[in-house]
Amino acid sequence: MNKEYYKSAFSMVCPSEEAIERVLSMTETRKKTFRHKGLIIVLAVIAALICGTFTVNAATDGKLFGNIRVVLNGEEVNPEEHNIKCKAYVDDEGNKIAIVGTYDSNGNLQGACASGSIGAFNKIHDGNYDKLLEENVDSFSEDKDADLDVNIDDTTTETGGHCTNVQMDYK
Amino acid sequence: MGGEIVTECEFIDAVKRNNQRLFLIALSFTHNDKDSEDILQNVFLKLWKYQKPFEDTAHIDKWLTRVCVNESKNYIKSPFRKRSVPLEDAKEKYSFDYECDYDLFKAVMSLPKKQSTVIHLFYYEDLSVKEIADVLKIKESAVKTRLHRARTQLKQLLGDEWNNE
Repeated sequence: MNKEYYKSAFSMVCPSEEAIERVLSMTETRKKTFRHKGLIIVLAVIAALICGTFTVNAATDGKLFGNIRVVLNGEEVNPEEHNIKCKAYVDDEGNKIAIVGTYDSNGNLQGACASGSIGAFNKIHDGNYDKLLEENVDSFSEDKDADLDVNIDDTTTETGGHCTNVQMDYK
Repeated sequence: MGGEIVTECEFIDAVKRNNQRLFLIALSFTHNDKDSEDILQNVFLKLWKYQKPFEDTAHIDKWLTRVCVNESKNYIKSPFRKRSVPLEDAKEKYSFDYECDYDLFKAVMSLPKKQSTVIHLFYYEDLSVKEIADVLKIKESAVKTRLHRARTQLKQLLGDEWNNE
């Protein structure tokens, strides 16, 4: 009886129409994101082609960061000294997910990307590392046993643009 | 469905099917309609960005419930939480059919948030004690305790309108 009473009382309580409209308008964002993703792939291919000539040299003090090895332009480095953030997670279905963010010397975000099948993948190169974490790892657990190589090619293009190409390989 | 990520049509159906239910779950955590609408938006954003296939609509609904609970738990801990003003204008806003309906709503919203969440999941979502414990990640004994305390409080507030069951 209490259940019927409860359901009846709460049946009148609902979100505002504006809130529903905001939610439904999200369908536009994925269309935009997918279009953007196509552009990103094209840019990544172009960047890869010119990568060899314009690779930025990095410090060589290689160091382990937990079980995650970060290799910047072919040299294993301490990510903290190169403004790189990297964390590994396991989602609630056991899938391994790694998220990497790279910053320039002024602390400006250059790129963020994620491995695994999460929505954040669409944000490769134009994402925000912290936002990416905030939005995606609620149901993830940190993967302290992750054994992972993160290879980063950090390049400056002829036109002065910047490109960060990240490859993640679990051992 | 099977094998594909959520399409636009499936997303819209999921919003229509679940928006009120998820809003109420969030409300049981926050006791605030604006915060609950923010949570609702975050939950559906996660669905829209989710890249794995769902088996069927029941799978989507169950996934949404779990995400909504997690999102609500995180939201109430967040320093970015914007509002702490309770639902003072709920009576006019929601057009309750009966005065007793509003009384119950008001009574539930006056409970401590941990109790109102458990009460809502039990009485509105029809979840069992075990299911509530699973979704909230707490012990079944804790769920029973919160239910008992909440029922006692509701009985005190509502008198004969609320049965001891």
